[in-house]
Amino acid sequence: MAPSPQKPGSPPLSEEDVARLQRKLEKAVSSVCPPHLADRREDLVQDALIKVVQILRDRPAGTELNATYLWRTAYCALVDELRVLRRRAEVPLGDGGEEDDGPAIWLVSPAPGPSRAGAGAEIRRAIAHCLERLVESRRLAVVLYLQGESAAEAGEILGWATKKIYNLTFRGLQDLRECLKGQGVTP
Amino acid sequence: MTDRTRSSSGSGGPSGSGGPPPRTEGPAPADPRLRGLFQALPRRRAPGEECPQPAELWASARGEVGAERQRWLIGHTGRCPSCAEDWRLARHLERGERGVEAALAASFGADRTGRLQRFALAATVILAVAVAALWTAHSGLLERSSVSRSGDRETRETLVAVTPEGEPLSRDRPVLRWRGPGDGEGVHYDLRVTTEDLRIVAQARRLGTPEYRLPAEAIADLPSGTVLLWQVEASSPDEPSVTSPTYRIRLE
Repeated sequence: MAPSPQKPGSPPLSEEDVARLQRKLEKAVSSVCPPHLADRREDLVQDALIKVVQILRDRPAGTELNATYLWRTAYCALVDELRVLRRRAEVPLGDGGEEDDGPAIWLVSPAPGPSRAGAGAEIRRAIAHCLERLVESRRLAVVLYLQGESAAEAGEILGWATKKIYNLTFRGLQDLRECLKGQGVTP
Repeated sequence: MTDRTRSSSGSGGPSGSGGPPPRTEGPAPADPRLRGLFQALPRRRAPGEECPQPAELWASARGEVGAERQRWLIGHTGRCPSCAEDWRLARHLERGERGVEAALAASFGADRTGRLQRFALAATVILAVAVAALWTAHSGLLERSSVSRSGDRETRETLVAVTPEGEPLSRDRPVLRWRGPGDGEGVHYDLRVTTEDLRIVAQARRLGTPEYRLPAEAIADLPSGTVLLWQVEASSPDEPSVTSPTYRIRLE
C-alpha cells in the first residue's frame, strides 16, 4: 500500500489511506494475536494510527513518504500499543519468585479455567526449556517452523539453503519431541 | 533425506490463536499441534531488558539485520512469547506489503465472470513469488545484500556498510561509510539516518562519495548509547537504484 500523493499543506495521509491502513492493521491483529487482544483490535489500531499520523506530521519537511516508511511506522506504533496493553495486564510475581502465569494464559479456548490454564503454562515452559537445549542451528530452524514460516522463508530469513532448513527442522523437531517426552509433556 | 522425511506431509496450520496457515513445501516435518501450542500461549508481560525495539523486529522480519544479530533475534522469539507474537505481526504485515494478499483479494472478487481467469492470474503471481523465494534461498547468499527495485521487480546487488556496526560511532568524527556498486561511475547516494523510533536525525541527497559526516547539531541532543538506523540508496543514470539494508550503530 503506497500512500496517496500529497498536496502541499495537506495532511500526511488521506482519509482513504488511513481507512486502508486501519483495515490492514486490524486484519493483522485478528490473524496473529490471541483472542483477548484480537477483541480489542479496534482500540489498539486506533491508538496506533493516531501515533502514526503524529509521527508523519512531525517528520521534517521534504522527507519522502513511501510505503516502506509507512509500514514500518505503522508496525512500530502498533507494537508500542500492544506492549502498553501487556504491561497493564502483567501478573505480579508469585511467592517463589518465578513468573506467575495466573489467569493471563490463554489456550485455544478463550475461557480456559484454572486447570487448563495451568496445563498450558506447563507446556509452554516445557517447550521453552526444550528449545533452549537444542543445538543453535536446529533451534533457529525449529523456532521459525513454530512461528509458521515455510522452509523457503526460513532459509531466506537466516541466509541458509532450503535443504539445510529441512534437515535442521526435521532433526530439531525430533530432539524437541524427545525432550518434551522426558518432561512428561505430550503435545 | 531419510524415508521418514520423504513420506512426511507438510500440511497443517496453527490451531491456537489463528493466523494465516503457514506455508509448507516439500518434505517438511508436520507437527501442527506443536505449532499451535507454541503460538497460542503468549504470556502477557511487559518487554524485558533484552527484548528488542519494534523497529529492530521489523528490520529482522525483512531480513535487514546482520546475520549474527538475526540469529539472536530469532532465538529470542523462541524464549519470549510476546516478542514471538510481535515478530509474527511483522511478518504478516511485511507479506501484505509485498502485495501477494492484494493479488489474491483481487482474483477472488465478487464478480463470477472471468473468475477462472483471475484464479489463474493469482496462481501465477503466487507461483512466481514462490519461485523467487526458492531461488533466493538457493542462491547461496550468506552476507547481507541490498535490494534494487525496478518497478515491481527485485534483484539483489551489493551495497554494504563499511562503518562497522559493532563499534560505537564517534561524536568527534561521526562518519558513515559504505561501499556500493560501481563507485565513482556517475553514482550518487541518498542517505537517511533515524533513531529507533523513526525520528529523522539527518538526511542527505545526491552525495557524490560513499560517505557522510553527520552534522554535529544533529546528534548534539542525542544521549550516549542512542541507536541510530541508517540506510543508503545508490542511483546512477544507467542502472536501477539500489537500496541498502537498514544498518544499526550506537552513538558514542
